[in-house]
Amino acid sequence: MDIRKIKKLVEILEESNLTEIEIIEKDESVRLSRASDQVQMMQAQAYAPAPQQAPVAPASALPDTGAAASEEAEIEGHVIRSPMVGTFYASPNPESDAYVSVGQDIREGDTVCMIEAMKMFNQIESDVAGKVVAVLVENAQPVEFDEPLFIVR
Amino acid sequence: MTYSEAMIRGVMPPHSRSLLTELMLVDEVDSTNSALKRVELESRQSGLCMIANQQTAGRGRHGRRWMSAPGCCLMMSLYWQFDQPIEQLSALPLAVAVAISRSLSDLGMNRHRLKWPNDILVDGRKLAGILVETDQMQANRCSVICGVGLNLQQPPDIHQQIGRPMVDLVDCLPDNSADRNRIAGLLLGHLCLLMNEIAQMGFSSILDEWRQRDALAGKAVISHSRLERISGRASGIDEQGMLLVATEQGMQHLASGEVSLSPNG
Repeated sequence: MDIRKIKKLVEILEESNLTEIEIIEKDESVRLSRASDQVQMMQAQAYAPAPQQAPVAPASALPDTGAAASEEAEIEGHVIRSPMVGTFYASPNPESDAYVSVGQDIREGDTVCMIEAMKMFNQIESDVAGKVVAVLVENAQPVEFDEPLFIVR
Repeated sequence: MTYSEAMIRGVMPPHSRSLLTELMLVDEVDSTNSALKRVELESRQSGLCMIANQQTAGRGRHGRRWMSAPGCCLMMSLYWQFDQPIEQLSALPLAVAVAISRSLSDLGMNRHRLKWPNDILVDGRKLAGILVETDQMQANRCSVICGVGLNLQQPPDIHQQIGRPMVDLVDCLPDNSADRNRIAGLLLGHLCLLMNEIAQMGFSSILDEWRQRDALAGKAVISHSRLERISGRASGIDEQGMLLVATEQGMQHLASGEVSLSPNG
């Protein structure tokens, strides 16, 4: 994949509220997510036709938020899952900030999100202490029972 | 005018009184749901109830404010523990609506309808709102707080501020009087009985009762969520309490979304 295209994707990610972008083209794919302060980009092995050096974007293109590309499976840590079918809400109401965001330190028992089903509101609490390294679902997205929501390390 | 514990207990339906473990009557509180959450965990037992004359920060869904003038709305929250995981209790908001429905029937009302999942409507106008929140969630047990706000007799400025069609209980009853202790006692009793019924027998008969008052059944509806829009014909609810909507793509089971009647009928 063209390095300029990847740079463009990084810019799009930075300018948006998205936590992750994944582009799949023919046999190549790239996934960018705001998952750490380190800048790392990797082409997903499953799609890469031949061993190839992962393109690395210049660090200067990325301010503090940073962006890192990785497969979900590559993010290690404790997974917080949805206890029910419903809709995922990152914040208590549309006007307020998200309960937690990537990079934030959380304690056991901290509310990480709200799952709503049939207008029953369930504040989901973290069952571990650590740093949020990934938010795996988008605000207002439907989620299934046991679906991974966050990764905490 | 304030609430009287003796009068409330006096009108609770038979068998429900023993299920009420503590009744807290307060004049003013931020929100009855929030206040029950602050009660120390060790002191909370199923059947703990709070009724407030006024809420300073009453909450509706998605952080919306629940508005009322002092003493003009019945505001009640009930705490209950279940020996079941929360995913088996997803129909609780519908059950709370059934408890309100039973109370209204006891007062001689019959024209109220239930709009999925838990709005109480009279002639298309909202009489009561429900906010069910989980408190503790564990693998095999959970606790919930069921909050109800029921308009008794709101002043005109509240009607104006809310800006959506709403109705007061006082205007629905034949004698135009809404005795707050009577409605509080009936509702609290029916809520306790329903929670007990759910714990022992599940939702089946409660959902049948809900279906008899379904405001949307057979009507063209649109469901909006922030990510999708579904139109079709409302076709009742399934065994989990999810709304069934017959669409061109087949039957959809909805767990979330704001549902309204389609303007195209």
